[in-house]
Amino acid sequence: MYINILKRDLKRKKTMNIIIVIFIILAVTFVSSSVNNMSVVTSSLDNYFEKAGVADYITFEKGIAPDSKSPLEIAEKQPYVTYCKNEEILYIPSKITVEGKKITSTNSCVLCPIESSLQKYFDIDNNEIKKINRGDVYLRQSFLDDHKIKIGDKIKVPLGNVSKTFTVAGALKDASLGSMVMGIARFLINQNDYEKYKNQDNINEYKGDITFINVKNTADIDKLETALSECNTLVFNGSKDLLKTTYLMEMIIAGVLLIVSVCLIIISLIILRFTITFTLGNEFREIGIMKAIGIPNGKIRTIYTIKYFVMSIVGAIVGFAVSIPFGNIFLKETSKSILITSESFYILNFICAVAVVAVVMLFCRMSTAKVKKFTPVDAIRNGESGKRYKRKGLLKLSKLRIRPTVFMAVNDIISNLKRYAIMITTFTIGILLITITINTISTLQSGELINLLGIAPCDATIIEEDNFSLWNENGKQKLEDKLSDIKNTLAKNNIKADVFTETCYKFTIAKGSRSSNSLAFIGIGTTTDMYPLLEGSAPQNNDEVAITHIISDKIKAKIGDTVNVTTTHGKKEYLVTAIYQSMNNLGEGIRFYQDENFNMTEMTGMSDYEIRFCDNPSSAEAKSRIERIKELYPDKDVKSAGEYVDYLIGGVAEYFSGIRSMVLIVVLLINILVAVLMEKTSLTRERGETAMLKAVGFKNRSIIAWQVLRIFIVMVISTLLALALSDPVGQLSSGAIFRMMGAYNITFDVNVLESYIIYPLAVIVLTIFAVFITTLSILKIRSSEINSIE
Amino acid sequence: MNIIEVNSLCKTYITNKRQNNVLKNVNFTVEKGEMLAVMGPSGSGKSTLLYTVSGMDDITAGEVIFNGSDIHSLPQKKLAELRLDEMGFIFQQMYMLKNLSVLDNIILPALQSRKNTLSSKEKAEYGKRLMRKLGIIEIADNDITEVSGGQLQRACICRSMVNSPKVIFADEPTGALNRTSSDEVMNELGKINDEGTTVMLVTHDVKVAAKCTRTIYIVDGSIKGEYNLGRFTEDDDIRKRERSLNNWLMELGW
Repeated sequence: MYINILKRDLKRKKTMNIIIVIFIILAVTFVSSSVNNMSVVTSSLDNYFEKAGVADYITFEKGIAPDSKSPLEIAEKQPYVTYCKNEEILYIPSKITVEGKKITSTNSCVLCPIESSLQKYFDIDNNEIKKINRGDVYLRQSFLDDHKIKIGDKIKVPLGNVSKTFTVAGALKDASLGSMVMGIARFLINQNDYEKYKNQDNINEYKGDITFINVKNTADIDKLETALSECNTLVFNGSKDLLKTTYLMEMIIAGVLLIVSVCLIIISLIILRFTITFTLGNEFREIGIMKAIGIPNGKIRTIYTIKYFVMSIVGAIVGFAVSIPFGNIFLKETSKSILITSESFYILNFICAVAVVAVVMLFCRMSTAKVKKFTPVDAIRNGESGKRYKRKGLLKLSKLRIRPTVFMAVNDIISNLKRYAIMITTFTIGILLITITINTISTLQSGELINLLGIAPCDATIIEEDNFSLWNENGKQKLEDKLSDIKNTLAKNNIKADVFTETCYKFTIAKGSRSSNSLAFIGIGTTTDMYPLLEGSAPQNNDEVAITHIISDKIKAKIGDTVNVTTTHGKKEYLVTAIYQSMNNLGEGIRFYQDENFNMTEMTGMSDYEIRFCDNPSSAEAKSRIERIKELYPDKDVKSAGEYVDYLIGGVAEYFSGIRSMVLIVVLLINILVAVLMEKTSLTRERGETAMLKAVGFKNRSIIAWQVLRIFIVMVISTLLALALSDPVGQLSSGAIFRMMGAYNITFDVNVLESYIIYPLAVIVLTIFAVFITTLSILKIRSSEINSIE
Repeated sequence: MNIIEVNSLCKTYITNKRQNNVLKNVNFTVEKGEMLAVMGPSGSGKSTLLYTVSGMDDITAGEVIFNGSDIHSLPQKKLAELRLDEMGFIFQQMYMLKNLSVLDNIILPALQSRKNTLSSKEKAEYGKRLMRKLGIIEIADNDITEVSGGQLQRACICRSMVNSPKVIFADEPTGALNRTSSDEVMNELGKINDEGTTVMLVTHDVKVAAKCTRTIYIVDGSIKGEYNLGRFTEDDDIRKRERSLNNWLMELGW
């Protein structure tokens, strides 16, 4: 009997069944492949770091500070350190050209000879790179991608008086510096080539070290970090676990897919509930008769759930099969930067598929509880048990002066809010996914974000590619002269502007027994009141500092507290006057008063030359001025604030842009499937009403308009809801990503045209078009069918 | 003067490669102001005849002249306009839109009509007037689930009247009603007919047909005969009309 009922049902509700199966396939595919991807990457990372021989703790040093101790010296004295060794590297000033074309990189680039490296490297085929030919260079995949460098390209690296041209021999799997978010890019070369650079005079300012430190147990890492606060030449220092977390970005697509698949499962369940309720509502007569002849509730519910069981199994099998190649595509991309040592756990795909089937079946069982309410009387009395129902229509056509089709559409939604709430929820989730993604990308690329990158608000930037000459005792004076020179040049060309930059140090800040090794900033040409604060007032004296909320939490220091900052001049007490937020160094930062003086030999980095127009020009005027600055500095890269932010974190924004297309396609697919399914059920349910309307003289056009208008209104409501919710939900979802980077309170930059108009409109138009096509089936309904329709 | 003229009407369905001739060369006319009943056994083609004559269903051959024009040569759009403005429909199942109140359902065709030049307010007033006339004004604001079958069928009559049609087509209008409701509905149809609106109805009920001017009897898609009882007036003995009609039907094998 089950097979007969199943066969009949599958035939009768073909479209509905196909749509549910598609949803189950998509959900299984996305859940399985993303869970598998995350699992493989996580387990591979441990093996990868083990194989590469990455130490428990790594430090990158740059330059030599006279009063500073090296990490090696410090580590050697610690009783819990089991191993420490360092290797020499050279920092490359950014004058690198690829095939004759200059590249600008926000990364610090370092030259490392393979022969003396403490770490192991692997090529794209996972083979260990043991030897590099003279004249060859290996670079990490994300660096190659960012600068569109191909294997075989010629890359010219000048350093001091030596300039050598290398051939890109391949992509490098570099465990410690391989992630796309790492700020240091390694140029792995032959020892002989390296010696050519090293054996020249005046090379000291470019020299640096990488120190590998192993400790007895992970709890010793904190002690080591405190001890390393005596070193003031660190560019980067971090534990193995911290380095592994940088690969989180490699899993972000899998993460987004997992979120999308959870949404898909929720939507599938909503649709299932809708179709089950619809089916039961339509088959009250059959159910009543079954009850009348004594079939128990449980048996009747099984009849209805068996169909969904079969559909879930079919969806799960197809989804499982598709998830394997689909997951491999992701893994192939991830394996460009990670040594995938772990085999794919297809058992995980299987478990995910079974889990989806189990959730669907559980939900089906719950949804068929309505069967209990039907009685044999329903069958006998044609669905009417004599019970009076609650008033449905709330609006009165006779009192409103609108076209009947518009009224019918609006009234249907108001009268069946529960049914349309399903659609509104689905469409709202979809449009929210799109708007949040677009707002996140637009925020990442907006000039407004510059405040969160430790830079005072500016309109334009001149990129400084070689600031190595400033890293000495007289650096500050030279820098101030340079800024003044730019300011004068601009003034001569009728551009009244302030020119400034940021210098960056790495100091240890402590309060009581709690300390942190953090980036510290001093603006040259700025005043501390130019930087936005979360609370408090900007430092006004040399012994005052502002700290980020992350540092505040870490060392438990509040406004008004005194903290100790260890610099090369020794320990000094500072009063905390303000808390601010920053996305530098995962939210850790200290800002000093502008007159506080540090030796620029200790500097770990500096920003470029920022320009702020004094007369607050219109955006068109600012644009034209930036063009003029480009003409004044033809050999420099001049960027607007927005372009500068994109340049600083461009990789991340570009990555999100890739996700945007995927989200858009998935949302469109979901919307179209849901809308078509709902429309199909409406057409089936309203077949009698449609025939009646035709009989009384409604034209097909009017009936189609009624049907389409209903979905259109639902879509408009959903879009408005999604737009209203996009900020709070955005704060909860992508705001969490910003919080991970240190931005405590982010204001999303909303690209009104894209976010509020183009994308929602595209979704509405395409969904409505699909609904319109579906609605054309009413052309087949004849008014003469009126008495043969149940 | 004829308002409907049916000439050589044929309707054939093809199901599972089998030809089913539902209407075979049917010819008849309906005079303006007449109340015509179509009777016949189940499956004889009564409803199909009503649907093809009203343009709700297409025909295989022949022609249906409605108020001077062949409705089956009209495009679908024109035919829909004709049904909206010139015809009224009453069905056995009282189809109404579930989400609309009774009054809104009644005035829906009026609001949709371009030919009906009354304002929305006037259309609503006219709807109420019709409801008052049929004694159902108290249910104007009710949902269709809140009223009885008899009230709903009278509401359907109001809806069929709202655009002041030339002809009302009724398919078993009393089929789903009890005797009292059935009598009330027929009385209302009689009054409408008295006011000049032509009525063509399909029925199984001799009591219903006895109130009509003329009855045609159809068997296997062909008209077997017609019986003219003349216009029913209050003075007429309805039982006598029923008996007379019944005898004629018996002769034809009813």
